[in-house]
Amino acid sequence: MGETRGELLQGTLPLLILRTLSTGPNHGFGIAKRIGQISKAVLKIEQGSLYPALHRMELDGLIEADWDTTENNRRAKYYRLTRKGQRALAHEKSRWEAVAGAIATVLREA
Amino acid sequence: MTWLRRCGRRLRGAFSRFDDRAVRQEVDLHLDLLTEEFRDQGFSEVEARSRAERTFGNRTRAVELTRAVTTLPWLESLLNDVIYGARQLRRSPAVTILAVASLAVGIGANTAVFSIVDALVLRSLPVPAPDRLAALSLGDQDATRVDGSRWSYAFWKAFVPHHTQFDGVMAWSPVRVSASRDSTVQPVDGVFVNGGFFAALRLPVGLGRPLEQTDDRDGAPSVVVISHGYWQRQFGGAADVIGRTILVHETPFAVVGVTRPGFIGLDIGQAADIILPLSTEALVRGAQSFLRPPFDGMNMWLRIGVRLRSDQSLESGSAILRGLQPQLREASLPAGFPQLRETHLREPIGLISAANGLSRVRQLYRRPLNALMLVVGVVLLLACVNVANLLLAQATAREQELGVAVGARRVATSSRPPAPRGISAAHLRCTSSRPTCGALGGAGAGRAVFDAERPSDAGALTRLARARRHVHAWSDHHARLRDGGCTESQHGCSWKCAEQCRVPHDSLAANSGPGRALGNTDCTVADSSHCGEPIRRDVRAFDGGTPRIRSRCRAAGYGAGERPSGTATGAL
Repeated sequence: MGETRGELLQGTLPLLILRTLSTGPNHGFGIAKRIGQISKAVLKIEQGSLYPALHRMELDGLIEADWDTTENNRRAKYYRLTRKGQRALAHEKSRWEAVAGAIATVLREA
Repeated sequence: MTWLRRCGRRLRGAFSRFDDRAVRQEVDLHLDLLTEEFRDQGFSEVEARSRAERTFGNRTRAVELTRAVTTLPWLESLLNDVIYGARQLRRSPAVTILAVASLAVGIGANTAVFSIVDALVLRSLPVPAPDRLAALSLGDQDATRVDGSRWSYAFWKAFVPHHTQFDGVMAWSPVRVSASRDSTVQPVDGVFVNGGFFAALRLPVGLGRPLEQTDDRDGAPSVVVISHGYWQRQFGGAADVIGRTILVHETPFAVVGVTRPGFIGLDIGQAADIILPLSTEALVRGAQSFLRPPFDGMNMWLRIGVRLRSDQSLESGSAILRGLQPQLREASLPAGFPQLRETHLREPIGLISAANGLSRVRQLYRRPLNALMLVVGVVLLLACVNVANLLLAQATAREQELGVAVGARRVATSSRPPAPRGISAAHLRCTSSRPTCGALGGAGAGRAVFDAERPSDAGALTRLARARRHVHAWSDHHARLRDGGCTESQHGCSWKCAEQCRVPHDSLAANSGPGRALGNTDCTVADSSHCGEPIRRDVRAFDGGTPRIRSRCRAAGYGAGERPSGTATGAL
């Protein structure tokens, strides 16, 4: 594979979901699409794996969901961040930045 | 509290097992939106859909994994297996009836015989240290050793002074008396016991007090202990039963105690509902009393037992009795029968164990009972083997139903044969009314259940290649079908079901790894379960009618190597 396409690192999907939802409620397809758009199609998530992650996060109380209608009048489940989710996002984000920074340093220096 | 809420949700999820509609709805919407997007990019409807499916990945797997988050998957799969098992049983009632009947006979016979053996042979008396109880027995012959001998009252009177040699002595004699309460007279199984009976047995009472030495004296107030069963039956378990009176042969007896449940006397098979002091025998039998001359030496009616001391064995106890024998015999010789004197003095008195109570029946039938127990045990074993055989035969008959279940988990494919519900299910159903000899015969699609999780397995690769050829062929065929308008109304088949089983042609061609190919397929047991039942017959028809269908297929212009689908039979 010549392209720079990344399989997602283990455990990063929830972080991406949290970040995506921090801009406002969205349904599964919307989340997948946004992640794809923003990362300029570098991050390829297998979209089917989104739903187990969403439901697990809902169970953990990081996000909440309500059924609503889309602009095309289809019924969709909209997820949004809870307070706990916001805290988790901040925490995960700083942790990720620390780790990513450390790895970048190692790659540069070593 | 979080984990508590989690458990609650999971349990609730597990019990709403059929309710995965919400998840499906989410996933369906996702796929639809994705399709729309591809369509907007200029792809044809079909192409857009297949691209959407590839982008999304294994749809059923996604639904299953999502549901696994909020449910207990193992509980659900257990439930599924139970239901599946029940369906299998219902499907072949003859086998089921046979299996249940043979198990029922085996288990029933065992239970019946064992309960007899238990009551007669195994169960000990419900008293402390029952193995120290022994009964006096005369002679060495089996006939007299079986259930202890009977003795006269005179002998008992001579024996009582030696009670200090043992840990306690007792005499008892079953008797049938007519007892009345509230003017209704009933025959009741009773037993006369000596005053030290309860003490020697260490038999506790559930209510009131046991009989004591002072009750077993001439002129003592007439008292009685009743059994727990009699208390329940006759007094309705009344708490104030102590002090009430029972008329036994017109003589009023005051109830002083109730035995604990479980004690039914020392003689197995003979209940002891009313326990009377020995001295009251005179009141019951009147002038013919066995307690007074001349009957006291002649009538052998008492059983005599001892409780051995902890340092005594049956042998040492017997030795003590042998030592006492001459004086006991001398004192108890019946008057007027001098010819008995010699045998009486010669016959040795010994002890037999009374740990399980005394029973002539037991002694007589012990060996046959053991043999019977063995026989019914073998019967049960045979029944089990029988059932195992039946199931084996059934499994062999079902072998043909094994087929490809693309994308299903490994466990799901190995725990039940999925074919009629897998690809072939949707496929066969959809071809049901078309005069087409489908290239992918349902059961013929491949007996290979390949292992999606181990793509490195060489055998799996071969099988996968074979299966893929079938899938390719089927995909073409499927397109033909669809172009020909295989719709729900036409075929009585859920189009959706067939759609789920669709394997995009180019996805198989484009991706090389078997895992990838599998990831893009989308048919599992669960997915097409609603296409299930009627298919089985179709598969059978296919297997049974092959030569005829083949010839018709050839006549219809289908070449060799193409296998007709079974359900085409009617249409061809």
